[in-house]
Amino acid sequence: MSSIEISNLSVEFTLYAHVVRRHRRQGVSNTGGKIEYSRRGVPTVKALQNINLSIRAGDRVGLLGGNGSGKTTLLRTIAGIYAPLSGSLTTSGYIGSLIDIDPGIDDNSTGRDNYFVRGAMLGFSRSQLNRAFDEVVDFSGLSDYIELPVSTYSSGMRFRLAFAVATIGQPDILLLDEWLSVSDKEFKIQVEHRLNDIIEQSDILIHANHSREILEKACNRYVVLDEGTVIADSRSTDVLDEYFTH
Amino acid sequence: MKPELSDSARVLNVAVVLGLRDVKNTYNRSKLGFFRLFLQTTLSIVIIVPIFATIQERDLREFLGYVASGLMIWSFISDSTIDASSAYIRNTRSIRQVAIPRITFALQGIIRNAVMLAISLSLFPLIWIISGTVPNWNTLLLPFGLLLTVLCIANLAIIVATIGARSRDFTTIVAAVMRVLFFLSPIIWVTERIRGDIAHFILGLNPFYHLLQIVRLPLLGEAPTNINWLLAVVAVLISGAIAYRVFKKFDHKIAYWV
Repeated sequence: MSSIEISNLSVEFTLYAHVVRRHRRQGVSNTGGKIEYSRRGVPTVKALQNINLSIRAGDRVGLLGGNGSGKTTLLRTIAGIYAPLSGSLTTSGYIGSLIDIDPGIDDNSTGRDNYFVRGAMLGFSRSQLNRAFDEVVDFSGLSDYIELPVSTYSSGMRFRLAFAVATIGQPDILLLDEWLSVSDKEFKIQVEHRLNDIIEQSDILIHANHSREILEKACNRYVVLDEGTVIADSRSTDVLDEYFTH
Repeated sequence: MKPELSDSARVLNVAVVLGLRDVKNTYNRSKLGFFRLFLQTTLSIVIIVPIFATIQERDLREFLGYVASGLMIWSFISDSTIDASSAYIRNTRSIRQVAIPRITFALQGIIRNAVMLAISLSLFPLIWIISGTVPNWNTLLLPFGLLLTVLCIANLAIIVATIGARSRDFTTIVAAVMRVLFFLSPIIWVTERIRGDIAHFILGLNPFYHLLQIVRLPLLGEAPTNINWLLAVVAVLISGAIAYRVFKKFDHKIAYWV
């Protein structure tokens, strides 16, 4: 069974190469995690502090919070990109992350080469990727462009490639960040269809989003982050009422 | 569909895929293709061999294989190490977006440079013909020499890449050190000219010297000494132990550093 167990998790970034002098510090900010300074003025951004979350199969978590509240950092930590600096994180199940849409896309390589690189990074074997190739070309609608370097693609075409490749697997745990801004109307419907399919078949969904409509439709649990801490965690839509009227 | 590769298989697979992509991209828009690499190697050999053969009073044909092999192996060692020092910084985007052990990006450069080495070594039959050397049983030792060299440099790459992620000045330092080591290692000069036990002892402490010997001598139809093999193996083991410690301790922190 898929699950995510997070206890007392903290993630912070120390910017060794930067020194912020005392008179330049504002003290209070409306956005982002807390910043602490060493004696020399080296800032440490407290991106996540003491997070406790227990997520089980069937949970559809809507992640809310202002800019810099830690939504993406939390998703990346669950995905295994940032190792917890303190506390613990245990996950079971294959994690699919749609946090950034085009990791490692190389402009000089063809669409085909990028597909194989990205697929390998996701852990798929060569034979698995060969089998899924036609479907990816088909879905993306790139046809002959798949053999051309990505530098010749329009931004819409890049998105088509990236999305088709990112969604070749069916994850148990799906991490979704808010990035879906598709210009192409026709492709938007395709994207939504595929996303809904993947969401339905996944055990756990964690979806960071600012749209109440989307969250209410897709989620059954709501977690609100502020300055890197969880300030609300509930299955009731009352949380949404409070968050969106606040 | 679920991924079927284990973590270690994935690291190796991605390193190979990325390394081969790099090789492909290097020669992508070039009409000369792989001949460009031959051109570089050939040009340096053609210039260096007559000059240094004359200075050191060596036979031109005999010296050709010596310098050619030295330059090819050294390119691999030096390019791999210098590449590694900026491997994580160059892959910041991927490191912040994909959950994969970071050493993948250090090994990517090893794969690329190993392929380059293989390509330039394919020139050797031509060198054998020109220099009149005939490959013999000793030449069969070449794969072992290559394996130990690649392993040792792969370990070094993991260490160097990790330090490079933490300190931006490191790339410059590594490049400078490799330049000095080029002159300290017998690549374009011969060891017979060295007088004195102490000088020989100091030369013997240079691990790169032994790596050079275990690849170069088989190419020239000679057998490396037992000391060469022993110290090469020791170099692989020590660098491996350090690389493993570095990997265990720092690999998961690299996302915070880049």
